[in-house]
Amino acid sequence: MLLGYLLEIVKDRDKAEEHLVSIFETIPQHIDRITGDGVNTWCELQRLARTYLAGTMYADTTSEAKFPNTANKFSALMNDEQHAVFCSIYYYGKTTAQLAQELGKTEDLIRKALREAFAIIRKAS
Amino acid sequence: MNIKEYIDSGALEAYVLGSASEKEARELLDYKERYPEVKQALFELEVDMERIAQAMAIKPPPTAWQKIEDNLNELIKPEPHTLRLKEHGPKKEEYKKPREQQFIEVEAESNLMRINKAWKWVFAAVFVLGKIFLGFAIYFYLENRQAQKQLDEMKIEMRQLKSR
Repeated sequence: MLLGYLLEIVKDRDKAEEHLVSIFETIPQHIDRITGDGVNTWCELQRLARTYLAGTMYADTTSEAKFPNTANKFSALMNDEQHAVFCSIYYYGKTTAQLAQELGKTEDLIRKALREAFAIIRKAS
Repeated sequence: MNIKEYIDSGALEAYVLGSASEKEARELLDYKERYPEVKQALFELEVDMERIAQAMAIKPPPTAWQKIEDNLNELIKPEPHTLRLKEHGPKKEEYKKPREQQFIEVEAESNLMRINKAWKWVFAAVFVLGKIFLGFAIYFYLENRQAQKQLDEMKIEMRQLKSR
């Protein structure tokens, strides 16, 4: 799953595999956090990947044109705002505060759009 | 605080995606402990996250894990000591360990042994050859028993013929 997630961001299979290897190498340092009690391992792994990618060139993604040209059925069902909010947070790890500032909206509206995006995903699956 | 409103606010989604501030995350973890509805909603969101990831999942190539393993082994390898010329200082009296400390402990703590993966083919070949030899042994044993029986029968026949 992590390779698919990375590939959506970097859009290059070889680079995605390189990042996958690098991220797995850092896992021993975060093993307690990832395998802790009541922790969802996938969410923590994804957070780790996002933090790792934030330190790379893929962190700078202000333009919607750079959003992953994802083929998954969920993002196709979202409107522009939901898509922009979801992708900025899901793929590029932006905070709601950051995004609110960038898009000139309140944090409440950003969270609302995010919630709507999740509702679409739940409905579609 | 109305919990329904809190769940509907999108704070949980922001937390699951790691975009909540530290204060918001602390608040959510506190609510998670206190309200089962929050715990359930959070669990459902985590399942959604897995569902999204599965929709775009790709199987990594078999070489990826080997690379990770090699790199991890590289990281835990001790640094080689730099070679230095021996300095001859004033001769010191040689230190002798007490007799009970002169032995090297050879028994490892772990019961496991690391061997090269290439050996698996050798083990497989030995196993297959073992089976073949066992098959031959059983075959020749049965053949030999059969021949022995025939020989005994022939001896009996010959004795009978002689007696006539």
